[in-house]
Amino acid sequence: MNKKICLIGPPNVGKSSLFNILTKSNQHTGNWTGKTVDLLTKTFQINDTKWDIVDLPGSYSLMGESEEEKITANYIWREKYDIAIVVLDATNIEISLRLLCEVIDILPNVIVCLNLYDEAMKKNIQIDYQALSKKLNVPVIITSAKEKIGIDKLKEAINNFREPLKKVKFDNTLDNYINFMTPLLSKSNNISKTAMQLLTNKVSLEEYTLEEQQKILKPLVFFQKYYNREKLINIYINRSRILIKEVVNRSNEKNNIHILDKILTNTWSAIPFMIIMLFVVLWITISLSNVPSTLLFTFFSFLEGKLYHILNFLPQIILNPLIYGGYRTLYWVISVMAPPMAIFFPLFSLLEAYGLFPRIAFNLDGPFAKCGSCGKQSLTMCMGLGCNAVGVTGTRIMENKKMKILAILTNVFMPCNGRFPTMISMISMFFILSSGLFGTILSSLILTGIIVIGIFITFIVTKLCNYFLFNNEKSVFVLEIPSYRPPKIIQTILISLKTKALDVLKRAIIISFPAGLLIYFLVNFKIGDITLFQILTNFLNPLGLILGLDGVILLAFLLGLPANEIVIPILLLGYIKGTSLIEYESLESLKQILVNNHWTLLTAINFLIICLCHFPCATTLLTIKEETKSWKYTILAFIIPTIIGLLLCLITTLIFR
Amino acid sequence: MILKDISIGRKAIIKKINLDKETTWRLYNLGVTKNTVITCVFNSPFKSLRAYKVAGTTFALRECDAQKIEVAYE
Repeated sequence: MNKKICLIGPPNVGKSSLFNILTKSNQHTGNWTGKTVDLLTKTFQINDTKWDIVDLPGSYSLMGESEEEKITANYIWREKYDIAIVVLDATNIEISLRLLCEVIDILPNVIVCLNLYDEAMKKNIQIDYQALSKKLNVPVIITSAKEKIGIDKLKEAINNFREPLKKVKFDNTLDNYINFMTPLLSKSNNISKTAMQLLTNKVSLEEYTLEEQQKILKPLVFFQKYYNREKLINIYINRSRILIKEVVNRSNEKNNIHILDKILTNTWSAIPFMIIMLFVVLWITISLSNVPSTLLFTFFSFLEGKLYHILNFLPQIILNPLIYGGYRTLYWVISVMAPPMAIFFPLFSLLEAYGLFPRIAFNLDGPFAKCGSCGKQSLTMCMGLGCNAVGVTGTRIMENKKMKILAILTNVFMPCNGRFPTMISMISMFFILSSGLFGTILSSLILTGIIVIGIFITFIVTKLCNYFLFNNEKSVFVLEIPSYRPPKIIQTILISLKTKALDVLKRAIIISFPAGLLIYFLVNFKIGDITLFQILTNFLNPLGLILGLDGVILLAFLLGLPANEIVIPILLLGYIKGTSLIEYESLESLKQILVNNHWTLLTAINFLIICLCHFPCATTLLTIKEETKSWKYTILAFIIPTIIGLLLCLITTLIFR
Repeated sequence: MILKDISIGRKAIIKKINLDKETTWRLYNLGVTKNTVITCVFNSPFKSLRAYKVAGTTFALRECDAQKIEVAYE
């Protein structure tokens, strides 16, 4: 049997990073509170011993009441493990020490890992870790998960760990209780744990006879009244405060405000700076993805001819849909979507790891508060820029249910990675002719503008939803602002590529091939003289024309429900009727196809509007259903953006005509 | 005096927290308790909230909540 370790510590102290280093795995880590929600277990080896290690959700206290804290407390109280590693943040040891005191009172098998020690040194925070180790009678290992310092020592400590013979010394204030209970609880193998659990938690006493149980439970009522939660919390606060005085010296601490914070939170520079940041990220994404996109495109269309040739033995009726339906859609999705994703996701992860997002939440709390929400909504929007489904899951961080619903209903107004490459190709086709430096800057500017419009729509819709759906329920807003942490660049990039970009791309690819087949079938299957596709587009065309679009565009968005990535290929397949042998050689030839089908500037603008404001993709809708557990909100999430998109299109069309 | 009124950069000591139980507990978790030293570090651009620092934690509170915390200059 493998031995077992659990990692416990407050949020954002680097538990996940330690977990990754020890197990050589790639869990996503980020510099904000509440990354790890589920229990992760992995195995690693030291010499000949195999260890299962569990990464517990961040927890400030075993008596906490948040979802994460309950999961962690439950694990600590009920599961069996050989070692509990308590991870402390050396730059903010005050918070972690209280948890450590709680854990040490009930567990004899603790190793303390003082993480981020190098950063504390840089800030001139002095911690006498040897004194800490002596006082608490536990091994204290100093580490830096980021720089991989102290990992060998930690492994050594795990390997050599023996439970201390001396019993844990209990807090004096609890002495009376423990002394009283000790003889009664002689059958438990960890008396202090059972005793503390009796105070704060339900516990089964099945190894005791009924009479013994009576003896235990009777005095307990009294003790529970005396040592209520508040009293216990105070005991631990005081205890950790005494410890802090003895081992931490902050008198020489450098307390400078980070230069970035000065710019980023200044009244005048905050908003421009954030917009510039967004622009730079988009610009890097657009300009770097141009070349690989074209290369992939050329490569795949070259392959198309070859493939057709090789598979020539197949009957036409199978070969054509395979190549001109499935394969084309597939290679469009890969060559247009993959490069931007591969650049955007890592860039974003770097910013996230550095700790910029909580500042955005801080800056934008003002307007969000006026709309009945709070600044954290902007964090969920940032996640939505990557993938709306992720953004919807991310709304768990919101302060209360109302704000969570508001954030969910508006998340779709952030164009996700499936949509903004679509927007980019549309922008470069219709608005920008050059693809040089000037061209990429201009298209990034336009895209930034679209996202800013999306933010404004978010504000308005949040406010309206708050007004119509909820009565004014207020809650206190507390936002943690972590210190900046320069991320490990290569590692962060690789992890985000592997976990985020690939995930989203995989989903798009899985959907694009069958979607291509379906659309090919629609385009070629005839009832009488008219194809199914024409029947559908003819039906949608009147509505499309009123909106300054056409039936094909509307159908493309409807068929794009499973994944927005496939909208443009559907559009093109529809226009060239699938049978034609035109290859998508370049953006110009694509533009020609669109222009031949009566596209004007208005069509392009309205296409962008609809792309920004329409129902979320199927995955996102499912996630919304799961998160809200309500059909009402799922349907609203579908209807609201669609209506807004249609209205906006109507307005631009009226203006243009 | 109340937390909302302390000037940026000056140290103050928390005397009393008059917030609801849940929020008080969350502030406990950040290390914000009676008798700890607190400084205001910066304002937000829309003036709706301010960032404070207690030991190693920086956190933000809205003005309307910050007026429920009593403090005194060190």
